[in-house]
Amino acid sequence: MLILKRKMGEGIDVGDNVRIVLKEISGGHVKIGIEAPTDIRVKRSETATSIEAENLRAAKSCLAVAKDLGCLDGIANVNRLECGKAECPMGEAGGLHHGEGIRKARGGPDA
Amino acid sequence: MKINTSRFGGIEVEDQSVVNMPEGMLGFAEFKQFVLIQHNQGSPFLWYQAVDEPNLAFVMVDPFTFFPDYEVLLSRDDLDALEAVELGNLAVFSVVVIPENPEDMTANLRGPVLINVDKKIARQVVLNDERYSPHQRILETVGGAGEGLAPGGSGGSAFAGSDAGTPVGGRAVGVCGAGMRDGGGE
Repeated sequence: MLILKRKMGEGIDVGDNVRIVLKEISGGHVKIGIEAPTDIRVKRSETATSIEAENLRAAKSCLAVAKDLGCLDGIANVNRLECGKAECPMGEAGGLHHGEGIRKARGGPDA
Repeated sequence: MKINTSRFGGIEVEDQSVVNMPEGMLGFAEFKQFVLIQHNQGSPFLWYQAVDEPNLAFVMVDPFTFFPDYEVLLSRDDLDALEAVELGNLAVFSVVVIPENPEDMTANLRGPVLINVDKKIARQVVLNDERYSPHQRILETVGGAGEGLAPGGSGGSAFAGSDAGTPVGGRAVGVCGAGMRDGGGE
């Protein structure tokens, strides 16, 4: 890794099109400005990592979810209508009625 | 074509309904083809099933159902990757984590999945917008928002089935301007 010492307001050019400028230092934080063409993806390093982790959680959590997501519809609606707890055990496949939750809820205040 | 899934068994999908994801989902780069499976017309929830791995599927949700003010700012690079000519062709989905108590389910608003509905190309985009969390609770916002689920359910435009819905995309999808980027945050 190349390490460069920079003062406030100074910058670093990467290639012909990317400029990184030191904008502000306070406490343990450094504000960095990045000037780059829009076809270069600029993002915080930890963000992609956290999204990977979230995808992994999502994929794992879905293993336990019944294929009929009507249950989620039901829960979302039940909550909206503040009718208390939903009755659906997501962990157990089967036994979920296709779309029942959402229809039931729609028949309520919207009707 | 026929694909094998652990949930739905062997299912027949039309070739043109397969979504190509050249970079895959983040952390799952080896799986590059998915199909959207909608369990119920009008539901904001749907499955995003990997074509080549029966066990890999994500639950996704139409984020605008629960977060009507949600904004997705795309870079030129994102648009190029999605081969998007106009934003109206892009559908936006958030990956959902469903914990033991499904009422605690969260949506990843920081890493939405964008799908070019016409060309069936998808990319998981990483947003720099610090307003959005990778694990935003879905339900507490439903009660507060009052208008919770949109009547008629805008759904997530399931083009896995033969009948394509209206793409959800286009809404609140913008493009980053060129020039200095120093985010809004620290």
